Amino acid sequence: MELSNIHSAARIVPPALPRRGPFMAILIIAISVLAVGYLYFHNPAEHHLFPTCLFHYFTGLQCPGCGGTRAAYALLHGRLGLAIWYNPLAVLVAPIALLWGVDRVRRVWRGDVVSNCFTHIPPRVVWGLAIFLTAFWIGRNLPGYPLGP
Amino acid sequence: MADQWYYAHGGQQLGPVTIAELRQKIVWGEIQPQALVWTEGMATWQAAHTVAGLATPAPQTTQSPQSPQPPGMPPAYAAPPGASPYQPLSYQGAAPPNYLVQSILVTICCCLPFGIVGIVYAAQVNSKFQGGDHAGAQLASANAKRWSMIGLICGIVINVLVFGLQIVVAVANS
Repeated sequence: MELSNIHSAARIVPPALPRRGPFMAILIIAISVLAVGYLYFHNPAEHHLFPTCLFHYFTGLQCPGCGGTRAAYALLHGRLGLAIWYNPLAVLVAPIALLWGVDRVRRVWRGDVVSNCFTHIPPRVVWGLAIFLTAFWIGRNLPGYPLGP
Repeated sequence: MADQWYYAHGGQQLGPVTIAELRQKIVWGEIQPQALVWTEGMATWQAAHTVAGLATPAPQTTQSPQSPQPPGMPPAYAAPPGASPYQPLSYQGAAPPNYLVQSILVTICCCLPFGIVGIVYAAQVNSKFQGGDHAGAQLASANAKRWSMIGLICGIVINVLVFGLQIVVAVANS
């Protein structure tokens, strides 16, 4: 339909669409690869060049993300059990975050307005996630918590 | 004068359409207010919501928008309360983003409870949108965005402050 209009003589041709998409997408991919590569070769349990959790630093308590970097390191090396021991929430969130990242890069590449692929999840699931997150935050600091770190 | 508008969708240029059609596409959510548009006389592509004449929705009736309301109009035909003709552009039809993953990542990475507030608003976006309350879903979407941004900014600021303090202490002790 659009192509047939090219032949109408008096039409002023729009300027080329700005195409920053591929550049931005490649930049995001490059930074992600660097970060994951660094994590793959540096065990956070032995190296100190990782961001520390300030909630843990000031309160001594575990936040819902504590152990997340070590869990990601364990996941990268295929040690699922160890990853769950460090932080089961991080293991749960990792595939969601991966899906989100891939969707985001795809949209940036195409020059789409960035939208969200998680709007059609049943609200109960999202509520469940919020409750699980809060319960995990509290629960992992209670005496009977079975996992680490 | 040519009423030919082009718009970008999915990284492609589409059109031409009339300004009325373009407004309709925005109101229906076929394209979003941030989408780039162009018409003759514009130097470059611009986001639709920054273009005068597109920034306000199409008139409610098919009559000429300049014509004042006829006197003695029965109240049944009056605009419903709250339906201001100058409401911001809404994307009815398309689900507004719910910032769920951003909120989760803020909770986990910044260790701040703001992220949980964001997740609760994300749940509201989904339930209101699926219940047909598009305006409510958009409001919840804006709140979800606000709280995940507050969490992110607080997290970055606090981390930078503490990191700076640690360096100062380390330098002072050496």
